[in-house]
Amino acid sequence: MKKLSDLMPELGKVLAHDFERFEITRMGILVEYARVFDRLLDVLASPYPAEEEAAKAIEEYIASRQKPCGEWKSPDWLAYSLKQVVEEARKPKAKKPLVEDELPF
Amino acid sequence: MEKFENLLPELGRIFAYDLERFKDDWFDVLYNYMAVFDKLFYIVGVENPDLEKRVVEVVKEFIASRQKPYEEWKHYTWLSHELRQVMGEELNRTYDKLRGYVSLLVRRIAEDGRSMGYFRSFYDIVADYSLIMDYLMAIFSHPDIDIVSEAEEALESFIQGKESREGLKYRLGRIVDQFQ
Repeated sequence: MKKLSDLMPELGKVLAHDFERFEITRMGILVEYARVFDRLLDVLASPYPAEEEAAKAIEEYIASRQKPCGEWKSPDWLAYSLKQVVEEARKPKAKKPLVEDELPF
Repeated sequence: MEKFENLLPELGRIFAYDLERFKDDWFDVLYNYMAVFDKLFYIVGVENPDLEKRVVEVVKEFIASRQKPYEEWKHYTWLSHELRQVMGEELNRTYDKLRGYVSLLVRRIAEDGRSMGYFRSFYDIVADYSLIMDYLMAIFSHPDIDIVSEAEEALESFIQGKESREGLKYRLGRIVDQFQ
């Protein structure tokens, strides 16, 4: 699995490509990516480990951009996914039942 | 004048390149570029052509340096620092205008203060001025010349006694509503 440091340059390239491709909505694109980066800061600031899941979401986003454009994911999707990652990490994990609880006596 | 939207593709490419080159320091790269993007949003929001022109010059200088030999490159921290500088100068200019009014305004507060507790409740007067000060800070932090001069006009007529405190509060509130 790729690390965030490997994925960030690729994400940067997708951003540059979007600026190139969507000439009339460049500021809008910048706003959307700014939101993504804000969410990414939340991931890094999260006291619960979330970087691995965040890397997966970014990887999925980048991979979608290599498919036909009907299957592209939007920066909004990525921002939302990163937010979910932080929220999921915050949830208390279900505890494994103790061995004692499983015993019939 | 060149619009800075047209510079975004090249800036985006340099951003991607910096993320690659300074991979181990990617957070620092991201953080600095986020500061750059924030300033670009601000500039678009205030629609001040002079400010936009200066920002375009800075971004163009940054991009041009990246087409030169490596020794002449400008670092991304240069860009974020330089933009902060440009905006800071612009903001200081409007704060300077405000400085002249503050002493006059304080005199009015002192006059109103004499009637405090007798004719008007202390709370009303303090709450009004507190709101007026908040509005002034918001307006004078805004490099849009029209907005600032509208507020100057309102302040001017208040200081000359043509406008009541409530009137000033209302007018400033209306101005703030335009951009918040």
